[in-house]
Amino acid sequence: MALTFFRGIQTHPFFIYPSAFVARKYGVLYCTMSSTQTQSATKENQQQPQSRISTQTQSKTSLDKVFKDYEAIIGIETHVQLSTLTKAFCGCPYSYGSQPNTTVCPTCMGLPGALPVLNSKVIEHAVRVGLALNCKLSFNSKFDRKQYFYPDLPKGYQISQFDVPIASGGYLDVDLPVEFGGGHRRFGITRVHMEEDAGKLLHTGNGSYSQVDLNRAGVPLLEIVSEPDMRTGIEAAEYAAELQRLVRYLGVSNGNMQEGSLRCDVNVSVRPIGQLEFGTKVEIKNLNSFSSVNRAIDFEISRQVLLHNQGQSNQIVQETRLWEEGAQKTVPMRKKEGLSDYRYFPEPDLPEVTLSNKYVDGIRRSLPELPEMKRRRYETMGLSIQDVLFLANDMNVADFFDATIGNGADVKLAANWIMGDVAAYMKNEKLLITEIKLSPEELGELIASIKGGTISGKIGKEILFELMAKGGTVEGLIKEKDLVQIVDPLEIEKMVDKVLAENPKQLEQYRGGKTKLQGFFAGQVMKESKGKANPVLLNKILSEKLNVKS
Amino acid sequence: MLSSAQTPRFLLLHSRFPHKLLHFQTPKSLHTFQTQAQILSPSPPTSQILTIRESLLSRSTTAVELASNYLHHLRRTEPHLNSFLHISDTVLKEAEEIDRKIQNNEEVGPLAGVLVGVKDNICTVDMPSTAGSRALENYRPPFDATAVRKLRECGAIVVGKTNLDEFGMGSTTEGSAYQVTANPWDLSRVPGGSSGGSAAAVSARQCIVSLGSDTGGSVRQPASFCGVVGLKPTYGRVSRYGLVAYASSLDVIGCFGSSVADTGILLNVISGHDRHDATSSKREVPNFTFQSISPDSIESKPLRGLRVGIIRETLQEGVDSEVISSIRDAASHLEELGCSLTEVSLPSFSLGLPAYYILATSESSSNLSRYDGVRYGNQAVADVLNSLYGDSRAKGLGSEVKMRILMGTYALSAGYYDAYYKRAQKVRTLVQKSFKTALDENDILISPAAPSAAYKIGEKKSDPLAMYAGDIMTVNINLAGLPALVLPCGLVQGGSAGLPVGIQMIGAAFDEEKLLKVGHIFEQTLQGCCFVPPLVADGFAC
Amino acid sequence: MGSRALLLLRGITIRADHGISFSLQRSSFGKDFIGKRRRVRNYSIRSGLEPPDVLRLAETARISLTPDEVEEFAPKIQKVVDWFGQLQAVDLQSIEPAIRADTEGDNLRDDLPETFENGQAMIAAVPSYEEPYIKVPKVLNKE
Repeated sequence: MALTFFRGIQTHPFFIYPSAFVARKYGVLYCTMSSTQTQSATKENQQQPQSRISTQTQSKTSLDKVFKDYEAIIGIETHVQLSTLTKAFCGCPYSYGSQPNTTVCPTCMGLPGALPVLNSKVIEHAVRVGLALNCKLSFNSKFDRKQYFYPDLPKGYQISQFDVPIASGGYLDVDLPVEFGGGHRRFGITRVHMEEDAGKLLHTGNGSYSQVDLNRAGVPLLEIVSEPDMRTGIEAAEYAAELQRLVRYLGVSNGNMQEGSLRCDVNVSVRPIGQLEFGTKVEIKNLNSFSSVNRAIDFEISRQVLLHNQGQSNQIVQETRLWEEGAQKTVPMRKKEGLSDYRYFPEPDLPEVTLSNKYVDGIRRSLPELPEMKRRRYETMGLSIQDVLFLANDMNVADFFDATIGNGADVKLAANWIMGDVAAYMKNEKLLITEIKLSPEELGELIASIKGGTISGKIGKEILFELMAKGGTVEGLIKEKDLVQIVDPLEIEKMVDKVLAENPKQLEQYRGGKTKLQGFFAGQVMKESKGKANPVLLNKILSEKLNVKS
Repeated sequence: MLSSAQTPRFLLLHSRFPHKLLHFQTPKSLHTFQTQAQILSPSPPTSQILTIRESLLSRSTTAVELASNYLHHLRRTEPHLNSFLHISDTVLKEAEEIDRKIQNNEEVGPLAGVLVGVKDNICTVDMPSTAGSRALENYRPPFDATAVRKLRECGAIVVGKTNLDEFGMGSTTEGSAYQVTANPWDLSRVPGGSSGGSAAAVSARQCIVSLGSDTGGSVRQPASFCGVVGLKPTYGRVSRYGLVAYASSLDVIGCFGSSVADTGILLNVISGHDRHDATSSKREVPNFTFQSISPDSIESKPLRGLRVGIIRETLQEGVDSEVISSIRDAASHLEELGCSLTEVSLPSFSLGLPAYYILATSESSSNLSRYDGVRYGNQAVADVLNSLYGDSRAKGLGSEVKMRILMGTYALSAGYYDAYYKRAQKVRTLVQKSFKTALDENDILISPAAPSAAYKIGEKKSDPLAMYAGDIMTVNINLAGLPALVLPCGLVQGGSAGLPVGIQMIGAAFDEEKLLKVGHIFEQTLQGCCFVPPLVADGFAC
Repeated sequence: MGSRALLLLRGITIRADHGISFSLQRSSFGKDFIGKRRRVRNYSIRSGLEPPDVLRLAETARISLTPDEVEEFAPKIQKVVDWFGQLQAVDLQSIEPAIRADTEGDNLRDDLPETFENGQAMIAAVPSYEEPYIKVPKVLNKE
């Protein structure tokens, strides 16, 4: 997924069809829609140049016209698994990947006589998220039982919050990626509530039976429900990415979609523009990456618009569909159940959750600078939006950047180094920014050294590599390897003379008109100087010498 | 907590007879109660727990001797009573351990050597805990209920698990999937329920004290039917961890004893905040044991100044006239002791019963969802998941339980919540308010514990409303979460020796102390009654 | 004894002809129904609640009932549910619902791990266990 590719130092690129994704615009997608059988084939054939980003200017096919008449209404329900040490209602530890059915106890296994007791950290995390999402907090909320039968739900009910969630009525500010038109969006948050996770159900390939692992049963979740404010797959995907960013910034979850610590279900409906009534809402599940979110929504929008256009809008039913990654389409879930009746009632085993002003203020004060604030701050520092989005994506990268410029380093240069050489190194070595041996102070020192002329840019790059791999200080390395830039014109002149003398043939060729050979000479001088010659000075002196001697 | 230093010598002085431990002889025939009464010249009950402690520490008996006697008596009476679903096979071993400690002058807990019966819906790690249901046949919990743990920490010996109506749903033990318990006063009658086994066991002296549970009267009504003392603590006083949940907002673990003193001692042991139960109170636990009083002290009007309210709605049509007169006699006795008696009206009283059943069936329909045969208990053979659930539950659960689950499912269904559950919760508020008002103006309230004495086995089975109607005296107290003590106050016609009737004393939240004090004084000064059932009347010192 | 106890319930208005009214309810709701209802009772707050459908309830509650059981339970459940209905007649507008008796709030737990020491016993109690999973018949629809 391009989003994560450009930003992702911490996030892993999930995308499977990168080029197709980048190329996707409304027009492209809808062309593929008309021939669903050959969907994947046509996708490959329709690569378009990456430079065109705008969604406005596209070829006016009749399909495009159709889609212009409709708007999509999209909402997202996100479940965030909290990174507490213990489960929500019992002291069982939880770690992803433990041997099945080993982190369980009578409470999370639903044994007779067992009772839930709330983990105080869950409230703390819920309040953090609620505040970060600009919500109104409910100072007196309660838990409710949501009842249904399923093998991964030991008690036959899930402890959740129904009518009085801990937070509601907030918003999330999102920056759309530059390659998709950029821009700022504010999406409403309907509610945030606390609940417990179910266990895991595994289906054996051949078998007549399924398998239950209750390790995960009882792990705390926050359910975050957005207002139906998104209009495109990109907006939805970016909203999800921002939530991931946010929960990582807050330290409440690792937000990993593959591990299941961040799960998204989306609701999509379409309506003709101008109509006040919402269309029929369809829920889509089984979205395992941000790019799936994007693609599934776009697919579903097309599906629904086409049905509308063919006069078959009644075929759109309120249902849950699954996104099939392989086929790249949504399909109905096998069994169509009626609307579930969860028979909610207040959880009698748990007292009300009461918040005090003091408690909330304490948490508010401890909130870190959130991504949105960071982005706005970086913008005011004069960085381009592309730089801003990159740097603010991962809190550790941002901290590194802040630390670097905190020591006085030039903002733009620091950004460039981090986004360029540092990022490339991390990608190659598969390291996080917290794992490389370069410190922000040394990066600052490096930048200053180059700016001050002590070393050349080229030498700087070499030093950087060493610093990242082995650590050390700029000063130390300069000394150790004798890397100080040569800025004495006389010394350079000496070297130029030497090179020119040692390469008479090329000199003659140069004189004969092959002026390109200046590069060759420059290279040789640089080699002679062990890379330390100041390039600008070198070229100046070289030019003089070459032209004088003619 | 009792310390080993406390020796209640004054108790011994006030007993009419030389104080000896209960000896059990084979009854040659059942005498009529009147004859027994003349022979025995009844005197008020004394604390068996304190007596045992005294005897053990003074080495006048051993724990093994005591336990053997009780076990022998238990085994003899069990075929008639069927109070127990399971009898421990480590009783004597545990008794030996206590004797060993005493021999070595080691500290032993206040309940050392005391045989306790535990209702089978309370988890014990070394014995099955079936909750009276086939769904949990042979189920062994991996943990002890907190109340059981506390008992054991004090040296108590759990002699066995007692019979109950399945999952606590019922008032007779006829709802048990295993057996029906008989009332020791008349083997053709019910002991009450759902804690019928626990009540009968104490009544028949098969054990010294026992634990029960009370959701809508399940400790108090059997106490009344069996002529023993039953205490329902305030909701939150005793941890519910390990109590198989029936209705979570109403369930409490309660105590049975043959005297108020013993009941108080038991309450003392099991009370207190538990970190495993988020609804358990952090309030400090006062000492529920107290100075005993002399039966003659009635002269001194020991309850002078106590304001007692008698609940008008409990003495109206529908209540046995004999029960009413027993209660009125008890009220007079309280007046003799110095109380001032007024009649109190609780206007929302009658609404409490349907409200209770709405809440109880709703909560139980949810609490019993976990009995699906997947993780424990009886599992039906099935290829399809819903059949596994459906059949396991169909086979494992009894009719009354099934019906209540269905009623509860109905009441919680979408669109019905407001009409039933929410309204019932509002009625709960009304009930709480009316009790609060009444208890502001009175120290305690009194009423019968049941509209009649024990009825015949089989009498009430077919009509659910008839069964539920019997709970009218007790459910409101569960709705309000208040503590209540039931102790025998008289006998009515029936059986070979009469049938006991209990008076219910209701106190303000967390005020068990007052109830126990008043109950003790009432009990010790009550003349002319000995509440020992004919089944065990032989060879008994009261 | 039983009948005496039932007398207590007289104080709580029970209508004798519920059976009839509910079977009427099965077919229609809403406005056209109000006229019929007024004949029988006047629970003014009730707005056409469907009577208990025992089979559907049993399905929801995952209890397989035999036809005999359905026949036995339905009238009893009906009777009790009707009896529940008397709460409709009470004015509870201004009353707040109480979830339980007053409890002090906030019995919370610290986020400190505790391993349950008797895990083996729990696993041993699982009827169908195939290490390391609990076995159930194949589940068809993914939630």
